[in-house]
Amino acid sequence: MTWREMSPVTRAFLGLAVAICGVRLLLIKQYCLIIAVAAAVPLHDHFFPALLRQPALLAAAFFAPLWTELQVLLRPTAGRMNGTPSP
Amino acid sequence: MTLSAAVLLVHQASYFFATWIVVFWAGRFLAWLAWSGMADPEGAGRKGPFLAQLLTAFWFLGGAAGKWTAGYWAGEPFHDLFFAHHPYAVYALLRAWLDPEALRVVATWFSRGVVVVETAMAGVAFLPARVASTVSIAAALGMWLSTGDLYDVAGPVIGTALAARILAAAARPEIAGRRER
Repeated sequence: MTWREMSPVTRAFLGLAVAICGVRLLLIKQYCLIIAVAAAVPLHDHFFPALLRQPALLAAAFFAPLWTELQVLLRPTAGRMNGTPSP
Repeated sequence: MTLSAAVLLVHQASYFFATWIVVFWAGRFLAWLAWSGMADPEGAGRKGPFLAQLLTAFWFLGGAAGKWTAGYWAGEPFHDLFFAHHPYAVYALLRAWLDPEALRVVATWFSRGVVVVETAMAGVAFLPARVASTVSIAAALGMWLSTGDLYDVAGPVIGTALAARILAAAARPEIAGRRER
């Protein structure tokens, strides 16, 4: 399906999703460094509970949406956009 | 996306990134588009641009509120963080061209400009959709060009403004058609 054939709502969705995915891709290097440093030199700031100091949680929160964002961008179906299985 | 942005906002190693507050709200806007927008495209064309404008106004107002201090009005944080030391080309050139006193004056007026523009951007919610989109993109590009590493905040702002523009353009023929009838 081409850009012109898509509904305006799908186009608006993709416009914003591309911007967010682009930012995430540009931040990958920086976040890999942050995750590596957090894993190598654990900081124990007691303001944060143990879970919110975990480098694994940081990695999951940063990288997991990349998968859904790329899926939507590659094939923007209504199901992929709202996270429900497509018919 | 919204949930992950919320986690990144409260994680010890990531809470200071303004990116995720913007992505958090942009994610909610995407969810609204995917659920309500897909179910009622006409409604999305009518309400979507205003929602996007509200978000943009909220983001800029949030940025401005943090700068309503005497220090920012005097330009000290901008001078110390960017003008005096930042390696970005614009600041390196200014340091090469200007003496320290002139650099401080430029930093002061730049900082005041940022405070005024960010505060004024709250008014974007009350502008017509296309004008608001253009103004938002211009402000985000200005933010990006003045501090190269702010692409992570400028990107979603530009994406939201583009989404509002697309929805407004789609709603316009429908509104015109309704008036003719």
